[in-house]
Amino acid sequence: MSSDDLIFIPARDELRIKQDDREEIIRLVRDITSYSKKCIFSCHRSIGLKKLKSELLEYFKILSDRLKKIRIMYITNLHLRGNISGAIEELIEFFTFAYFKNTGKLLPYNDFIIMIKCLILEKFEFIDYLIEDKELEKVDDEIEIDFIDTSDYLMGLFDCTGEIMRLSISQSTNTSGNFKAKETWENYKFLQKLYEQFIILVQLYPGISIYKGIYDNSINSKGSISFKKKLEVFESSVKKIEATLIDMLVSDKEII
Amino acid sequence: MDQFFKEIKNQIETDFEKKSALQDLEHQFDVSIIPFKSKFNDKITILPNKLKSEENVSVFISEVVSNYEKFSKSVSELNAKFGQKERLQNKIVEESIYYLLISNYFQVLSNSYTNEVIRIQFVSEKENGIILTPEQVKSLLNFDKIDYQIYLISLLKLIEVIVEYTLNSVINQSIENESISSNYSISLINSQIVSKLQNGFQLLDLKNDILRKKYDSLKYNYQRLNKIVYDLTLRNLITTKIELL
Repeated sequence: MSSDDLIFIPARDELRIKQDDREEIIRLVRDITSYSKKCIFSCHRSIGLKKLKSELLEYFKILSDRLKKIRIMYITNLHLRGNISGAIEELIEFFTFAYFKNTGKLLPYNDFIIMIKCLILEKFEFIDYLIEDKELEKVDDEIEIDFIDTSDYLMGLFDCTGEIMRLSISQSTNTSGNFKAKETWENYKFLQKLYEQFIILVQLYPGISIYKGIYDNSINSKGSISFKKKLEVFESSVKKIEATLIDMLVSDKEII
Repeated sequence: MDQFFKEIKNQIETDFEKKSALQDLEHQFDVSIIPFKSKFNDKITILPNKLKSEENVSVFISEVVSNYEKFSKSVSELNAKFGQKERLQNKIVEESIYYLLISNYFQVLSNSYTNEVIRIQFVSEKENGIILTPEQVKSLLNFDKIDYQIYLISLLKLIEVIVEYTLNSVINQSIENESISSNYSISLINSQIVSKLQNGFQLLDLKNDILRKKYDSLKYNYQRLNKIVYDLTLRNLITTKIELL
């Protein structure tokens, strides 16, 4: 047998499989990103609960299918964690935003994981917990979710703050005739508290970095730059709500 | 919220601890391969016809294998995230394959080098050719599955050694001032080996990653060897017949 038969042909076959897997995972995560964004848009719309539910359930079918496939492929493609994280952050952005819009609270991480398991198992009843604050039923099936952890959650939360800012501003300037000062103020308080927690993290770990699900403390690393950028955007979101509140409560009022 | 961030802090501390443990382990591994490096740094300065066939090559291979087993076990036992361990794990595999490939190259070369016709088996299923196949590496290191990407990177690193050895041999032989020597033929042997490997690499569909970057330097190495062979041939210095089977 030649060197081609003993080395290069099997190598080519193996490398092709790896490349095909990577491309397939990229396609799947693209869908997760896209449908998570659609879910967020639905949450922003001023539509009734019934309509919102039906829109989200349609998207859940696709998200469920893509997550199921990723879960299987991830077992043999652990090195592709970095390719998956972005889409997972988007998914977290949707879940935390939907829950916040409904309850005004931070979605507990463990409940998020339960909902992801439900999503994979096509048990979409969790939607009642997410958008109506009903009880979340525990899942019987013990399925492992290896490709999500708290580091993704932290990064996804950053993105959620941008959505809360958008919600606050659109709420405050809606056409109902009344400014929703109280709601905006509550959102502002929530973001302030969350921002404070992030600032504490940066003070404790000045080079805090999150990359491929790993926490590190190295200034100028890719993960650290991304963390700092998100923190800057977060700060500007807080400032935007602050300015809106000032406008609503002081500047735009003729009589105080 | 406070509870969640408390948990995050714990996880950050855990990841930092694991990182530090992995750094210590990497340092220990780097120290452990110094003797392997020194061995081949010495080898590179020896002319091909003076290379002695090493009876204890199997001892060396078993040292590489046991070193690999020791460190890969330590890494796998460390309860760190896959992403944290991945780089060190791959480094241990890559270095181990690399030293197996080099040791086999010099062993086969020393066994085959004569002043008459030099016959060298390039690859072989049963015995070891001058290039160890992925299956042979897999069997030596007791892998369940060979990672072709790492094997190919190690192979490209071997090519760099081959080029360096050729240059050293030609320089050392030229200094000895003997115009007729079988040692000049090493350039032809190595050029043919690299040529075969280059043809093999052309069969791959490489994407833009570390393997592709390393492969891009192969053409320069090949060009360098060809130039040496051309110059030596012009001066009729390659006198020994070569057969790369």
